[in-house]
Amino acid sequence: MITLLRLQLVASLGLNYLLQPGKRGRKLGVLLFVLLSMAPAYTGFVVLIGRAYGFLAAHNLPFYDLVLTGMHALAQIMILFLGIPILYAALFQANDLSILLPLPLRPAHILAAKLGVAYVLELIAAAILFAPALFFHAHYARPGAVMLGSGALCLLLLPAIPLALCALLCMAVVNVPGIGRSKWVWHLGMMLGALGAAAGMMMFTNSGPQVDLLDLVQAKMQQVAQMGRWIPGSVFAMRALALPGAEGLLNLALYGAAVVGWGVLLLAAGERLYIRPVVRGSGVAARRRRRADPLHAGSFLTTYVRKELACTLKDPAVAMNAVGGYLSVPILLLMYTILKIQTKGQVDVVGQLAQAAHSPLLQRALPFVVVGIALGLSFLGTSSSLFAASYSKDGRRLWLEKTLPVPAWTLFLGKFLFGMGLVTSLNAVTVVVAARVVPLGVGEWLYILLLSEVVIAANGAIALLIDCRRPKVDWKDTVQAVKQNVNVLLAFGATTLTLLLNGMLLAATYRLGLPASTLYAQLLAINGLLLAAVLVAARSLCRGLERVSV
Amino acid sequence: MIEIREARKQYGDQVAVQTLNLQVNDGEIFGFIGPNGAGKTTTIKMTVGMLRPDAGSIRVNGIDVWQEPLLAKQCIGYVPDNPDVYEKLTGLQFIRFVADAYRVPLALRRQRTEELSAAFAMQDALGDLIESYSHGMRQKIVLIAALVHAPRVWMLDEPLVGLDPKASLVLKTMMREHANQGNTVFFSTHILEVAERLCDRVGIIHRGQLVACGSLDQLRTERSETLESIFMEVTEQ
Repeated sequence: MITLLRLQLVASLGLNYLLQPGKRGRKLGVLLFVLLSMAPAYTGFVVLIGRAYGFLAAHNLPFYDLVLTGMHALAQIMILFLGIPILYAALFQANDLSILLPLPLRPAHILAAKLGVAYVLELIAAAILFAPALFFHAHYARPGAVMLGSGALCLLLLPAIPLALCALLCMAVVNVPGIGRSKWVWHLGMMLGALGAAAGMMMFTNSGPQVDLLDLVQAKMQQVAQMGRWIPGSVFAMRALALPGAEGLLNLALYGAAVVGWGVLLLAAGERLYIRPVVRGSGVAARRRRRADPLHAGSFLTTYVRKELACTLKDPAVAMNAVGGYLSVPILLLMYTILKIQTKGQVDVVGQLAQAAHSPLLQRALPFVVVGIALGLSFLGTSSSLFAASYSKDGRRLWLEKTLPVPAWTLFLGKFLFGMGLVTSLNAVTVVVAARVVPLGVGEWLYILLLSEVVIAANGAIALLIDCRRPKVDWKDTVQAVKQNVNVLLAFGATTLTLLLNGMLLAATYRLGLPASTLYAQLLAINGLLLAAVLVAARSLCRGLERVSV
Repeated sequence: MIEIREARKQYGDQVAVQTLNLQVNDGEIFGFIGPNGAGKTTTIKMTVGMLRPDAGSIRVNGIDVWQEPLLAKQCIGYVPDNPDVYEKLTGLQFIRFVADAYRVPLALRRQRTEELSAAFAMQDALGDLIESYSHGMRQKIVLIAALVHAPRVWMLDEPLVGLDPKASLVLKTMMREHANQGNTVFFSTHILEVAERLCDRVGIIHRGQLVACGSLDQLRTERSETLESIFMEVTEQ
């Protein structure tokens, strides 16, 4: 069991790199860089906690326990947020059960080792959040050694209950027939869940009555602690942190019992919901879904576009990275709505935009606003892996493309047309939404759509060409193909350069005082020429796929 | 017919195939054997147009693979050593995809798909997503797709790996029938008994060089009694 946990930790955290002299320096360097880049934000957080305690001390407010229990609750809520993706990955994406199940190990040990890795990770996260509060509590409240020991124990046990809840939820959802194993359900569920929970928390913490500044800390911490108490069993930890003497110790014992109870329940349920379905092979059965699909004959280009559609949209990792910037549109709309509701209409970005659009200043600068929106939309359309990882996402399967009697240009065109089809539909929806927000004329919006499409097409073709010449074919998971792919960065650089050139052209036109129609025509023509040039070049350069070794 | 003339391939400093000369005739099953990393897959990849040789030429049915790649590929059916295929497609979608690339007429693709899927017992699985297939089923779907356009030259890289005994027998029978009809079958294998029983000629490649080539009778006369002993003899040098 201990060996298994150690192995899981080494494999999950990549600790072996630290033992290899060649790679140790680089890995430690990266770790140091990450720590240093996070240091200012974390220092700010620690200072904030210290200030909160200092504020309470300065005003003789006896609410130290509220801050401590509030931070404990906050850490638990954070683990609930982070736990689901971590546990889903550890339990259902690791693909190591085929190695572990044949070994003479108890199912509970396998599950416990996997949960142990998540526990260690979450404990680090919890300590980062809770330890500063414990430190300042010891400094300002002088609670005594027993209370501090209780606090340390509460910290050590902190991830247990939220992780158990996350694990049970993951296992329950995966076992829902039909949809439980759909990656789409998980990706969308996690995204919508996080957004919904964040919105819910914001609305809950803003729902209380208006209070003075002095009461604000107390009111907010009470609300956070209230949320923490919704996690079954955690109430004992909060009482252990707040109550002195025997009562506190009793609550600590009850908290320990609750943790053990959740652990036993999780291991029992895990054997039934996690190990047993794998042994029964229900995952494979769930993946087998019959589709009626007649054997038509058609042009290869159409078939290829259809294949791209299936291979992109059916894989959430590929799809989510492919739609890239467009994901921010619904999130922004949601944030706008929350902000408007929260402030009871006082903060209304859209309303202010509409007002500004009618101002004389903006009327004078209209052509620049139009072009600016078009370039912004182009940025949304191209800041993704859709084109830049189009060949990479096929990976080793490119053997097929390379052995089929099809010109490299047809493959390029298939990928390009698919990408443009997807982006055009999303771009059109975004334009329709934006048209309701920014009051421009129909002509202007049509021009925005046209110019953004041309710029996206030119940049998309460049990105596709980059990926065609040097695709990343060695990967284990499509996430590696689309996220850890330098081609995406190269394409992003090319896009930035193109948009910068457009911006410079815009500035030059402004200085020359040319009329709007000239500006519109000029930008359209230049970007159109760029698109044509890239496509002409791509026709011969895409043959570079030949040299790619698969 | 396959003609490989002075073909050479090097990966960095490592020579994978050194000056290979080989001819596989019509009506012949040619077995290509050799230890791991000997250059079998590299040779096959160069022949099917996946990997450009550093020197030399390769012709399939008289067409230079690297001068007229699309024409040459049209007459090849290739099965790779690892059946990596698009997991998000169904078996039938994958076959359709390949058939469209070879422009196989509807009637022929229907007939071939029915015949091949029946032969490999895959009819019931064609509507399933490939991600749900076992290794053997993936190998079968790749075989069906590779043969759907009725190619004259079969290039099969370890095609029997993962196949069940029945499918293995079906494939071996098909290979024999295909060769008997005057076509070419080139396949690599590690199973010497299969090569011994099935092949008209055998080539043994070792460290990128063809160290033995000929019919089994020829090799037995020149070297040892069994293919296994011949293999051990030429690869231990």
